[in-house]
Amino acid sequence: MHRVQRAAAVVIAVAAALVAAACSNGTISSGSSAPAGAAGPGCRLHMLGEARSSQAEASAWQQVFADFKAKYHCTVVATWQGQFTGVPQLLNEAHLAGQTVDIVTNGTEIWDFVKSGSLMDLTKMVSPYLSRFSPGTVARFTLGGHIWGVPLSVESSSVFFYNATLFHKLGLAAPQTFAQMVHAASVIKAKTSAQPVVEGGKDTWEWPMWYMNAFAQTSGNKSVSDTIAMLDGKQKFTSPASVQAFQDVANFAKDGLLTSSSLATDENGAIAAFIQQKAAIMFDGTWALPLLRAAKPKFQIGVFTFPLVVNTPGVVAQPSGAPEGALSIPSFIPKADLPKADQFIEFATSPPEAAKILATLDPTVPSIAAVPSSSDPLATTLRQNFLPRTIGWLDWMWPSPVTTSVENAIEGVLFNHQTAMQAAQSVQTELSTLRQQQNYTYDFLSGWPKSQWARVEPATVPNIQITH
Amino acid sequence: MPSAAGLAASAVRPWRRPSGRRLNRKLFGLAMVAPALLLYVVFVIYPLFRGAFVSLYQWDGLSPTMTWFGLRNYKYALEDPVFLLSLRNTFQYAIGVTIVKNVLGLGLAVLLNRKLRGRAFFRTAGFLPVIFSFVVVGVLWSWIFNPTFGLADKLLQSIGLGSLEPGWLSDPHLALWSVMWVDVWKWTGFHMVLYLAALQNVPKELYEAAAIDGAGRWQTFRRVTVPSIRPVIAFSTLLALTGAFVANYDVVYVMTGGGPLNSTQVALTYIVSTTFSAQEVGLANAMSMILFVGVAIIGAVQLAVMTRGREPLR
Repeated sequence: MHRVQRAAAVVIAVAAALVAAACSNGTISSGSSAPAGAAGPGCRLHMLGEARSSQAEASAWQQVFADFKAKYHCTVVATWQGQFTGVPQLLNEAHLAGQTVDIVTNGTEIWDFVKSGSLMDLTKMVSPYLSRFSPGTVARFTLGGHIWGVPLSVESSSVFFYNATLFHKLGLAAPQTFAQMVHAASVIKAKTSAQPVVEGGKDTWEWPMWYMNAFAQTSGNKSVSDTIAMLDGKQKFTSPASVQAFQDVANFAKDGLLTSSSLATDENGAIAAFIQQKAAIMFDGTWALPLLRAAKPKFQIGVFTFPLVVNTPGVVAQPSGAPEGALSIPSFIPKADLPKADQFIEFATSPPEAAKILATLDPTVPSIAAVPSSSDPLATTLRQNFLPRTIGWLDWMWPSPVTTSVENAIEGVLFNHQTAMQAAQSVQTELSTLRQQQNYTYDFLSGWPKSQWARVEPATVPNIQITH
Repeated sequence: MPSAAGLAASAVRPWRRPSGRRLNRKLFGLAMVAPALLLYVVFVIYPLFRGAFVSLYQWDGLSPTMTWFGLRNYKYALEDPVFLLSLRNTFQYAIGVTIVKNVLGLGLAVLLNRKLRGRAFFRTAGFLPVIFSFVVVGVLWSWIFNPTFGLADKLLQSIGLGSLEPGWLSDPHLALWSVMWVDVWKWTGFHMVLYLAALQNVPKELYEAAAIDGAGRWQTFRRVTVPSIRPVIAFSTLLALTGAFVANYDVVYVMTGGGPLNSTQVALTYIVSTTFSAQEVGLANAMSMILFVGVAIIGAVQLAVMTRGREPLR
């Protein structure tokens, strides 16, 4: 009996020791004999990003991984999880847990990513093949003159989709001004059971798009420079143009276009409501177009841009947008992995490989210039009329707590819990708190010491093959 | 005749080396608890002290260095109106669901402890939601509460109350109650089972004596049933309360994400967003410590009150 006890004790002690070892920072061999990023049978790259938009896109990525393995003898293992807004959290968790991440998709919050030192400066690494990207698309991932990601996605823009068949039946034209939109809503409410406008506001990242579109007009088409001035402390969110933007957004609910049901409807729910003709108009991004097409709606889809909310001569509607995502390299990548990660980014963004991925997205404007654009007639309209006027997402410049504050402020003004001034003040307070408590500065890069740059710049630029 | 010193010496029990068998038994006992103890230390004790340590620093979670911040994170946390609101919501959530879950659980247990047709079915059905994950339950109820397709509004319409159509998850005054209801729906069956087990252990003689004394149903319940199952009530309430404080993240995240207007923001969702979105890890740890102290105090007070005059729960 004692022997049995002793043996059991030994087994348990060994098991406990193994658990302790597994929980330590020590590395446990996965059986591969080569370092993670070095070429050869054991080469393995780890990629992290949000869930792909469709099975077809996920399969296309797998094809690119297979092509990369065939050419460079290196396996890419991808973890696709959640929404793009959750990627910073996933990356942070991976870093804290000591997990290897060699490549990360970067679809939002570029400022936060860079500020925290999470990303590697790609400027020197991608400069040999910058010409392959569509004009202006890399600029969205450039901060302080440094490139932190390269786009492998579709240039998007925020638009209203509408049921063109219903509008035609009701004798309505696509509205260009807010007054026309209010009129359309009143006709829709009077003659159908559909709600005029639906928004997937449970996904709170949708709300700032309303402010960005309104502020683009109230600021006299200077919303980007005004936003930088706000973040620099030279202007405030309580400026007349900003308060007016909150008020203009509030009017969408006040004048009966938008109901509070949008607070409990996520993006997929909004798309479902629109497809099933329970809503006549939906505010979303151009990325929703392939989803709408795939659902085969029993009506014609139309698009119009954010209606004019000001009468200022010369001011035009400027939708916000940007390429939906880029590829970046985390600053904590194992040094040995950097050459292969750099090579993978070059390979994936090369036109033949990028085309495999982008084709599944039916791209309005692909971020890789040589990849064919969508032939969808609506995409042509978007490409010709809307995208040239599209300006960058302001929430890519805002620090994350300010973005959250804007989301809450929009919900507040829309449904009568705050005045426009109170909403603007709440955002300004958040920004001031950040300055006071976290020493927030917009132009943080100019203050980075050499040691900080050393963390995010490659010691040597890897020598990689460029696909022509 | 032994000397005084000799007597004194013999009175003191000499230290004896434990026999090999006793030592083996002790080592065996230690080895048996070692895995659980190790996991407890690694996943509970260490993070607690590490969290307290980090709460004194400003840290984004990624930088290799942390900046000493003293108690400023605690000051900032207590000045943050959203954190204070999330604490208030957390307490409302925890206390509300604890009361309702236990009252409903006890009520159902009393009902299903009687001879009843289909009793086994109702017991199983009552317990069924417990086995679902909170994510599944959250998604399910999100669709039930959906303003466009939801069954809840359809039900109201079918009974002629369509004009009400409350914003179950969109009305800031109602959203937290809707989420709390989902917690109650999921866990009532668990508490029902606890109470059923307790009720089945109440001696029948006590009920017979109460009946002879002419006690009515309510008197019997109050004077016989409740005192007899008091330790289980204390245990069930403590379980519900601590659980509701620290296990509300999933359902809130899935159903509302803390919105609208932070009306369903609970401490855990806000701490997570402070950690990973705002990347203020030190501040988030200070918030965690504040929550920990609050829950510990409430748990201790509640346990003391409910076991007053009784043997402590072991």
